[in-house]
Amino acid sequence: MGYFFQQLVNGIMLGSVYSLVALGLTLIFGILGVAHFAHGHFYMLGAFLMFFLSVSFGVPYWAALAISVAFFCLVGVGVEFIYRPVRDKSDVSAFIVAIGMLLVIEEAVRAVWGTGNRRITNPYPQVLKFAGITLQYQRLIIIGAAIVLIVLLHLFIKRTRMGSAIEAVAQDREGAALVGISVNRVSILTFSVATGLAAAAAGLAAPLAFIAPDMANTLVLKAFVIIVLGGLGSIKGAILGGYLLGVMEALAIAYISPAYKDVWAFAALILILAIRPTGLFGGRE
Amino acid sequence: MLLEIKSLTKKFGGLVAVDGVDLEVEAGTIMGVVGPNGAGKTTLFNLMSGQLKPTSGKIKFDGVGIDGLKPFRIARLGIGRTFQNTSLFDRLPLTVNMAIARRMRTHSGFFDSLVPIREREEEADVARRALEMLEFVGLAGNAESIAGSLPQIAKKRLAIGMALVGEPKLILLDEPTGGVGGDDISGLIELICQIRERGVAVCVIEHKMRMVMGLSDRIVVLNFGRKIACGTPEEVSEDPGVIEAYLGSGYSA
Amino acid sequence: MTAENLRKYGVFIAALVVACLLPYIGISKFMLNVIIYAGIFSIATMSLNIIMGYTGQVSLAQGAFYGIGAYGLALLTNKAGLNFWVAMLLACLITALVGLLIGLLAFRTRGPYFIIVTLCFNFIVYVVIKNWDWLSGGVRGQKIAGPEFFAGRDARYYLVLGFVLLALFITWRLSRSLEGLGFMAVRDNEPLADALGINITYTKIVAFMISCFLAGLAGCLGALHTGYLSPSSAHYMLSFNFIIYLLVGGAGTLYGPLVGTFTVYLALEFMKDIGEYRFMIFGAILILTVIYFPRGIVGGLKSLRRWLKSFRKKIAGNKKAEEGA
Repeated sequence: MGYFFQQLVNGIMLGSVYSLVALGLTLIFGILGVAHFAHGHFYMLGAFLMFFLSVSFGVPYWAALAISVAFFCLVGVGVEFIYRPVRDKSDVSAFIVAIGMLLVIEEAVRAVWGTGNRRITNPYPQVLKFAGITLQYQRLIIIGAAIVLIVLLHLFIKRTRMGSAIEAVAQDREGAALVGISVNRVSILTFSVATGLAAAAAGLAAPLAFIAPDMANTLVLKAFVIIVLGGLGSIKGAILGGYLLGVMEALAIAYISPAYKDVWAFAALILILAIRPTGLFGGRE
Repeated sequence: MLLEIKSLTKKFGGLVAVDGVDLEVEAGTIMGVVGPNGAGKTTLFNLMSGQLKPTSGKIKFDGVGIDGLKPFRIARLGIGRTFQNTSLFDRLPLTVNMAIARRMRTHSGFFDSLVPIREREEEADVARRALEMLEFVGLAGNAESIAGSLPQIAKKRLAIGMALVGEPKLILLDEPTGGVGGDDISGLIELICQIRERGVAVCVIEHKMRMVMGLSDRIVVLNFGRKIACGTPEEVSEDPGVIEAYLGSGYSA
Repeated sequence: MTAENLRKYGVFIAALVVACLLPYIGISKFMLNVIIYAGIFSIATMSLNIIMGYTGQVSLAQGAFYGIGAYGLALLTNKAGLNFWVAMLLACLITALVGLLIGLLAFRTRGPYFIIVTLCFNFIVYVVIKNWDWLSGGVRGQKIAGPEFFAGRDARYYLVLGFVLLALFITWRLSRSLEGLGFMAVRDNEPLADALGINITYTKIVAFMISCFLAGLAGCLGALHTGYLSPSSAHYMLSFNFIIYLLVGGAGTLYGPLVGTFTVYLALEFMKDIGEYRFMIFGAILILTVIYFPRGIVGGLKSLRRWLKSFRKKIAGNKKAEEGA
């Protein structure tokens, strides 16, 4: 039972990361129709920035995290500008731009930091023990921080003018433009928030992970699986799907086989889409 | 009867777009479909040609039940159609547009394309019919132009030709004169009459009342998804229900 | 041959003559090797062109089908002991069959969903090949031996050349056949094609099977030429590469895949000295191509020629008008 519970916590932690990344992706996809396939690479960049700040400059953990998130909110603005010329073209164009972006980022990181795995020191190496389970503090911090971020995002969208503009564009882009909402501004804002979320997820998970240029390759694909299953553009679907996939994966690694750990999610996706071509929770065409 | 529709109903969520409509179309006649915006005319067409599946009711075409069939099956059975927004293959030349529309009547597959024996015969036949049809709709002079570069009226004519070139027994025209100027309209009316002369039945959605009255053999009037009248233009125009619900203010205009 | 035909096919014939003489004009072994690979990848890119360029369905699974072809050939020759040519044909047919099964599932979705489903499939194939030791030799890979005749590099070159021509022929015939009309109809306007009696799912699946057959063929040739197979032959980076080649060359054009593959692949080989930076340049080129040259090299040249023609006509018209005045 203790082992199961331990895996469950691992799954929820993994799910927290998935949810944060998938949230950004679903905002971008749902609102702008851009298949931002390079999103995972900004997660990877976020992890490297954490490494750079805390190892090379000795910046304390939380300060490094704050700097990283702020920086990547700005980076998101730049990303939006790259996508802008293809935003209203076919799905394919944006996807190809994303692949180009991903190649540039991955190779740039390789050129600067090499291909090896890097680590940053865990700021909270203590463990919590109860009822036969050992939990690292950092895992609990990830889970807690993800919940805080999700609640903040929810409040931002529901309670602020800027946030509700995002929701309006998500529901009806032309309508939103007609009532005077600037789609360009919303687009910039969305990319900024999404990229910031990815950096936050990366910063939170960084102390527990190997940091390498190819760390995000399956992450973005999984995030896509999550948002497709959750319904493109659905915030609730991305959160639920993220946690669900995290837990499923942790249990599959523990009880079935770690070699095929990445396969289950994708196989599930193909099967589910074959039965429900627009995702589990409805979603939009 | 060529087409028999029995108590056809389509619901979108709580909204009833088409509500228990009965309708019959005789071979080689023109049926006008009129009604105010949102009356369910286009939905009715989409049900007839398979773009939408009916919630309940039956559609029988040429003795075969077609409700719930996919659009391409219905097209092959002999119902052609145009769309309100004049949908074409914009990047391709007119001849290719026509050839695509004729494709369903050919049998050549992938292997025929590699060893073109049957293919050559069919290609020649398709090319001949495509040209013939372009002539019929008055576009023979533009045969090699790109469809997207045509003026609106020519696009309308091309769309009608594409619906016809597969030799349907019935074609559905969704607002063929929408967005077309005064002089061009009479040409389109003439074209629609010529279609009837070919023995093809026509269902036409139209807002311009005077035009529809002059053109149609029979007219069906829809309002809020219900059929409120059906008959010859004279019968319909004298129907008190129609005058009240729809024509009252519109007919005099 | 008429003058017009000569002009039309002149470039093609000249290129073919050069291609046939290539091993005899003092080309280095290294260079010939690069060209053979470019030829093999161009077949894979042509396979993508059929499903993406002509039918409008962006498949990110072509790397997987390349790998399925390659591993199919290896299994059928090494484990089943079949004759090489029989094994090759069977491997391509198996690839097409897998394409049929995946197509039946994947074509229930469209647009971005389809892209993601195919990419996931590619990923699954890659992981399975990497981990299923008995089947694939796992990460160690496995050797593969072709007929003795193809031990020489020149012979393999001509074999690849022959299959490049075959793939070109198939694309050429398809692009001007009735079957190809259906493909283009599905690509340009699905609802209209449906209303005009074209069975969309069937059309997509036929296109996908042809495409997979060719991808499998490229995989077989790749396996034969390398003589060794590792899981990277089914990596999804291959799928990305094929898309890049196709877009640079021009999707939906006959020669686009060939031109794109050779341009990009050769350029990357020559840039090997600058190491990993070349992929950055590559990525940047990709972004710029999609934004500013969405029709690729061949598509761009076509537009240019059309523009020149109309420009010349205009000048001629002006001259006439001047003479008249």
